[in-house]
Amino acid sequence: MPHDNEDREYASLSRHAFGVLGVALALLVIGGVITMFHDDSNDWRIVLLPFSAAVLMFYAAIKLTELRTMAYPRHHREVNQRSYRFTLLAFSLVTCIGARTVSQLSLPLTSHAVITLITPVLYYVMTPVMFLVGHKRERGSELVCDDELTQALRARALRFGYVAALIVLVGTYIAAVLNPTALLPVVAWGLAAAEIIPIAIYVALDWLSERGETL
Amino acid sequence: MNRLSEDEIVARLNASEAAAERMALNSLGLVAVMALVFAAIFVTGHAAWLQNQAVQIVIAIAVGGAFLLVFLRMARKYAPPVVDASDPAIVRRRIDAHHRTWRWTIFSSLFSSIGCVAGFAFTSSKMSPADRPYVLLYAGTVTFVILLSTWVIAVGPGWLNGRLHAILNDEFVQSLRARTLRLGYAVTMAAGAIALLIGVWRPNLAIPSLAWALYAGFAIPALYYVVADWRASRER
Repeated sequence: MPHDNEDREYASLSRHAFGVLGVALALLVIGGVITMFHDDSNDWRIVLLPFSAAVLMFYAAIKLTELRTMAYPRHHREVNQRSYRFTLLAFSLVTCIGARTVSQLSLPLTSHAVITLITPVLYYVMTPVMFLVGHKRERGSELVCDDELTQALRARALRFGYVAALIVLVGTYIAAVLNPTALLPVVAWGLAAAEIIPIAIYVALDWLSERGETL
Repeated sequence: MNRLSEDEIVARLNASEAAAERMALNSLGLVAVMALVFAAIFVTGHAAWLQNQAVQIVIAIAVGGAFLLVFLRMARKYAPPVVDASDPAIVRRRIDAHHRTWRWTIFSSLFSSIGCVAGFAFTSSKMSPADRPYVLLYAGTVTFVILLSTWVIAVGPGWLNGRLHAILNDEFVQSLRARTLRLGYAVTMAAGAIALLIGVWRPNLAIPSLAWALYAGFAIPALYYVVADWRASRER
């Protein structure tokens, strides 16, 4: 086959870059879970795991740039869609960590806590916008990752995701009505869930479509 | 099955459209009357009346009953014939008539839900923990109205009528609905984040602002759909 060597080279680098990225995300998830159930700020794992994840992500970013540079036109969509899925998942994960932080704040907030609050709130808006706008423009002016398939998948994910987001927020609203003192955790986790559900549906649909399957 | 003549079909479509239009106008009128009554109460310095729980219940029952009557009156006359695709001479006209009726239906839901959310946002910030049953009743009503309206947008024209939905749900509608849901999702998240910030700034405004955030998450995309569909209908 004429492209065998190119495909092997691409597959090897792709496995390397996305493998490292996957390990970094897994470390972040483990760190998040440990923080959630073992609330001790002196625990070394709380610092070490996110730090290791950040280092791995930096390394993965270098490898992804290399992958993008060497990727042949027929691989562009795959590289971009994969990194887009990982980016969405990483942003969703950061939102969860932010929601956890917000849920620990107590009212009335101090000026320090207000600054802490701003980051998760930005993520509540930035991540859905990134999800809706699609991936950046790739080489030239051709849209690589906002093709008809992506648009159709996004429309399908939103058809359920939008209603799911509204249902989650309605649940948040009723929970806040029943227990106004638990407002911050309820709204913070409600917004995080409203963000993650449509994104999770999209990521699952896109991953399955890459494998030639559907839900 | 008896086939309807062309004139009968047009007459029924016109009647359905007129019923949906009347429902939208009546809902708008009810919201205007509510706004006028509340403005008059505040201007004449009788705002303390609204603190009375009995008055609140009477207002809630009166407004809810009025909206229900408007809806039931429309539902009685709303009986559009299903589009018959085998009749190409008239099919475009009939599909357009269904779209117009659908736009009026969404338009009226904007007003019926604004009355509900406004009433709750006004009363909930003044209620005490002892009023929990009333708060729950209001919250349940707001929830039901918002979710019903959201479902109307997400499913699209035809809604509960599967046969009508299958015919009206063409590529144009699917594309428009996809754009509407994109906007709706972005607005929902932004409004939720703003409600969170308002709740932190003024905790007593948290629950009303959440209700308004939910309303924005439905109303802005609904308005977008109505305007975009209306503009597209002028080009068809």
